[in-house]
Amino acid sequence: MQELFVPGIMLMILIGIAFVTGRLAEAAHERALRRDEQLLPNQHLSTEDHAPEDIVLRYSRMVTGKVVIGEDRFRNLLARLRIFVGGRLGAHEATITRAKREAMLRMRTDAKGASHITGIRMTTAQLGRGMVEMMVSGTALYTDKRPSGGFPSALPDDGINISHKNLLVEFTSASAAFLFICWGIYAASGFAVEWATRQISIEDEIAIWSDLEGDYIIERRSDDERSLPERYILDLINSIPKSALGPAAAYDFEVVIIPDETPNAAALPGGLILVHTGMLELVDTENELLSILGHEIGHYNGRDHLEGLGRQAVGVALSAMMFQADAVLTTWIAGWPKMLADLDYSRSQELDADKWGLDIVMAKYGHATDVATTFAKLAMMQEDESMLDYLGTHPHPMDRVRRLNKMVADRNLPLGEPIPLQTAFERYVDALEGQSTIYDEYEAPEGSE
Amino acid sequence: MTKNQNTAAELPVVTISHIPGREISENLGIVFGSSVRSRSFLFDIFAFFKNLFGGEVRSYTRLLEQAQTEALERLVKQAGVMDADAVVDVHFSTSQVAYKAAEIFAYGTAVRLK
Repeated sequence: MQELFVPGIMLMILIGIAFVTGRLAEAAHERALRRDEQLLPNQHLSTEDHAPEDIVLRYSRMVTGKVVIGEDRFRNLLARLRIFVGGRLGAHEATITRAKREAMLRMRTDAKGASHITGIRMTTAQLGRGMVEMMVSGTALYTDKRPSGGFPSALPDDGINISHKNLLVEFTSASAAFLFICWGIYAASGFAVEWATRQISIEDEIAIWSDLEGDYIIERRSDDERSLPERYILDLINSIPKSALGPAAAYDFEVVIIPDETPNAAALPGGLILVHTGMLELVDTENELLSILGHEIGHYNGRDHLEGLGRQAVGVALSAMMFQADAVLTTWIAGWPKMLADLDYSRSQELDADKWGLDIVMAKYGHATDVATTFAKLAMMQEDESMLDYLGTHPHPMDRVRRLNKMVADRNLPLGEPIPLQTAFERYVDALEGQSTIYDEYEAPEGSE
Repeated sequence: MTKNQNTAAELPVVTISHIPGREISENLGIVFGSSVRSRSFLFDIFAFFKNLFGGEVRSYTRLLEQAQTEALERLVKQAGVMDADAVVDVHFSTSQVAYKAAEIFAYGTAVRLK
């Protein structure tokens, strides 16, 4: 949520500046056009291919006028939104009319002294997006008449070619329509992604993921390459009875400890579980640690890690379709519908994962002590943080604590004696020392105990 | 200003430089009409598939039709403001002002008839 606000405000300011400068430039151009059109003597302009018969022609010459006008960022954005929903691009019509008048004006300046310009043709070039190009050509006739036709010989400025709509109103309605359509597609794609993730087997997932992120996913490290705490956590996961793991039993798990103070853990595709050192500092007993790990394993059972990826891909594809050139806009706009659609969805995913966590702790220890302790700690930590976090994708930790405690009470699960993490870890190291020599090379990462 | 309400049917618009059977008395200058339109992304997707297999892209044809009609309407309206009797030597041209949006414009010479 917060990461959307700051760039959002910056974008709004930039677009606001573009709006103001664009309006100023337009007004200045409009004034200059009106003044110059008045200054030039009236010439007879026509698109006819022949010269009028009532003149004595001295000589003739080809004349041209060209102009390229750049659109401001605001109108560009408006046009892009409009292209998405379809319809008339009112903002561009004003620019195009100005371009025509300007090109015509330059041609007439080129034909100074001529009384007639016949065979006028207009054409455009395509130099780039967000630019309006106009080329006018004609044949200037220098005759015995003075260039004062007395007709409105400039292009008429009656505004018939411009849909008079307030730019801001148009912008608001266009963005509302755009966001609504995006949200609709995004929500609908959620079901498609959910279906698709259930079709992908775990073997395929590992194969695809190691292709995509070959550097990130570790090629099955051997025990020597893992740090001792990582080995400990991995062995803890592997010691869970396979029957309690559910579908996730097919994964060959890997654990990586990330030196990060925020208490967090994450399930990545391919069975890679990330644990922050902040989380290890937060938990006091092995039971607590397993409740967190069980929660992450629960995410694998829900295939939540794939769904997140799929939905992100849909969001990015959607906005990239419309805003190819604008990386900042793409990521920002993609963020909104994704967040809206994910809000409800993720809550149910998290609660499902909590349920798996409880089952795993029960299977391993035979009692449900400490299943909710870590979530209670997280809830205490979050209380003094900003309200914005509560709107995030994770359910309120206190709700989770209540829900977990209720589950324990409803099922009449027994409580028992938790194993302090320190004791469990030391016991693990002692056991290793007894059977191998790896212990000599061991250096504990900071904050891992 | 009754001529303001002229429609294309009442005010002759031709692509040749004279109105057959009538004589031009006065040349009033250039008039033009333009229209910028786009189709929504849904039609873009249909068009993409049409591009794969070939065939007429009807939604885009309709877009051109609408834009052309509007451009002509505006041209006639402009001629009406100038109190013209006809528009001769009309030409069409297009430009691509924005990605996937097309401008159709028509321009011609407004004339008064004898």
